[in-house]
Amino acid sequence: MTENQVASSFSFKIFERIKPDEYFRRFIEENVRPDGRALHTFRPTSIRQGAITTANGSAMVRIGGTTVVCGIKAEVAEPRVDRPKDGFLVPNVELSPICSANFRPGPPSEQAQVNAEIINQVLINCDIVDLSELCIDEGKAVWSLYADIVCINYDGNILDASFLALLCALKDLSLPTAEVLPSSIVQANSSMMIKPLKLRRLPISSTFCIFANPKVTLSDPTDSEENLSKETVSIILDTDGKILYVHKSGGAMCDAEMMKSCFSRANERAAELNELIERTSSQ
Amino acid sequence: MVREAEPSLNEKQFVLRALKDGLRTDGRRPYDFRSIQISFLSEYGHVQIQLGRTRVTRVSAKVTAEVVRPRPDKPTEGLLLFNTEISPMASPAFEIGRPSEEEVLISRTIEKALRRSRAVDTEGLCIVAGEKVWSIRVDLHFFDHEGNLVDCASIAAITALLHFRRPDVTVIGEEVTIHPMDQRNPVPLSVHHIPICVSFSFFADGELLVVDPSIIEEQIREGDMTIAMNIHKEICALSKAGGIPLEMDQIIRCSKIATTKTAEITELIQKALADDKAQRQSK
Amino acid sequence: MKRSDGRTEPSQLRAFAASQSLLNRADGSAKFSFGESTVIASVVGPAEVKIRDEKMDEATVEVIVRPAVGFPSTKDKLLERALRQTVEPTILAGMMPRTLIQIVVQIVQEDGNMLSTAVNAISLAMLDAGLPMNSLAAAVSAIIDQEGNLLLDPNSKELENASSVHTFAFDNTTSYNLLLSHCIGTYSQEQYLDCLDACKHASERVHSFIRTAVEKRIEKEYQQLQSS
Repeated sequence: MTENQVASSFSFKIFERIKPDEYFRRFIEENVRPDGRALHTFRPTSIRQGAITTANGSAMVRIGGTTVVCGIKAEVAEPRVDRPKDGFLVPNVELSPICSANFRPGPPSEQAQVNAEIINQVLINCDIVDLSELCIDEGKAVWSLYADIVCINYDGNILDASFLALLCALKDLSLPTAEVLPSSIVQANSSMMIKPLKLRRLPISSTFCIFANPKVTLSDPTDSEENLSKETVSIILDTDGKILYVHKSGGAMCDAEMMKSCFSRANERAAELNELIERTSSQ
Repeated sequence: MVREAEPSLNEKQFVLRALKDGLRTDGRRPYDFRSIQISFLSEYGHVQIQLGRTRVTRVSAKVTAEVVRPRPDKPTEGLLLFNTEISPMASPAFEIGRPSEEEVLISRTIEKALRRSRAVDTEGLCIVAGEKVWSIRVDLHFFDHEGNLVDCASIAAITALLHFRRPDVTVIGEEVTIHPMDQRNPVPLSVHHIPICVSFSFFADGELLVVDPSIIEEQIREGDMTIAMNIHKEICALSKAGGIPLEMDQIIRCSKIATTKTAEITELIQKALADDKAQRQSK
Repeated sequence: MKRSDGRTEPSQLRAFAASQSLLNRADGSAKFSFGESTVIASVVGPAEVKIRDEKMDEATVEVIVRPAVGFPSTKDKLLERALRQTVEPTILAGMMPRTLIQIVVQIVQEDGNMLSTAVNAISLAMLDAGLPMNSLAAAVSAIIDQEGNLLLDPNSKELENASSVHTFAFDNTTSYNLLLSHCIGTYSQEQYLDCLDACKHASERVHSFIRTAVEKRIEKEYQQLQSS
């Protein structure tokens, strides 16, 4: 390697550090992203179901450099007074310093809480699971599922990854058959395992971010892309093409035409992931 | 974080010099309470209290009720909860999630004056012993801090509790029916007595005292004391946390002042409640 | 068609009400209501910022949501982030580097549409605080009910019967750019675009209401100034 080449390979790293937006803009002008992807491609995605053997259901998902593990722990709980049949499904997203230096130890960050809440609201409002399937004995005992979604490596687009991990973990979930004895003790029979929850629809999340200059839409942003753009669009679709959730905020660049193109990209992505999930669960 | 600006030496001197002549910077005499404005919002148990006319201390209280399971150690008692977290709206010096000493003292005083003095009959909130009780919660919203939040908050809380109506219930055997507000007249809470907090600030080694301190008086005071008293001249709570030592005579003098202030304020509250009742009936 | 609160048109909004400068400790404050849904917002800033939140080239915007009942939950965190990301692009934050703009939202009464009510209240409060801004956000909500009807500005009773809930915010530039879209439920792309369109038209009404409210207030202040 000549001295000149060494200098230039250093200088592009320096360039990226001191003028990240300009560095990025030059890539985008050539219709390519710094990691070599086209603007509309998602990163390679892989799923491993049953990654944690001690959990009642689990899955590990990788989207490019973002790795997320979801483990579901089932506990017996007393139902709410006003909903005696319904069990609980409590999603929790954890973004600890282990996955990125951007996160501090301590109470959950805003991003973690917001993602958990989005997942929770979609689960409640979009008719995905029927919580009465978690009933053991009406008014006395129900299953409470704690879905802990832990990010191990953070490289952007945490919502898509955590949603996918939760879905695959729910598909993997198996619970022992249980009954309430007359002494009001719940007895679980772990030799008879059942798959209690049926997913009524398969929600697939796709996230995009929008750059102002030049005006482009990027699918599946990485961490550095997320930091450079403030405007993001998240779309959750089911496999029949119904929309479950759309969130767009952070800027004023996006119009109806851009939303339409995001919808069609999200549709393609949903079909692609649906196939991947089918393949993983049939293995 | 935003800190409260310290009053300057000149301001301090000005206030103290005026006090020595028996005058206060807002035109009151030392033993005068600011004018109290009570306004009721459309829902039962939602009250806003204003102390003063222009630079006001403003607190609103909202009472809500829900049916919950009682605590196992007190199966026949309903719950009474207070939420006294002060938002930065009242003053930018208050921080969310990190209560200042002032905030802790305010919430303790309210708790002692209203809950521990058994102002509200919690046994009357029982529906089915050990199964279902009413949980009454009082949320205090602090809008403007111009001194003496604690008195304002206590007046707001007790007025809201007096104004509140909960839905009627009938119990037949194990069956509990909660009647919606529009089908059967809602019932008021049974309130045993009306504790009112009256706060004092002391200056010049305890020789000078003022009732209902304004914010500048709170900032330069040497000591403070809050007496919660009801119309039967019973002291429900007395809080004197730190500050200069007081002579016994001074405390007796304060409690005498508190007696008259309590009588005045109680009368005011009852008049406002009666006016509101008449207005609601005429609708 | 008759709606549960007596409105006759699906596109009818409830009565707006707004008042500005009602708090004295904040730099700017406003109350906004859609019918019974009422929110008070206060703005403090530019003020001193914590070192770890400090941004070298612009102001840090912080939104705190205080629920009407109980302690703030993750639901309020989601509301906080949505509100912050909606109003942030309208503030000229670059003019106030290394400072804090703190917005506190107190929900007074809930009857549906808290997100859109809060956006409008914050816009008015920011105007009252005199922050440098490039435009003004206004928001409107809509639902698609179980029968497939599009209803604007739903109340809590109508929300129970909703198959999807949509909230959109637009700025008041000539092109009415989309600032926020928060839509949850089950719906098709056509329904989404219908809601987008309906809310865009309705937000123009909110914008003109805000304009009249501010105009009236300034006129009154001017008259007071002249008479004194």
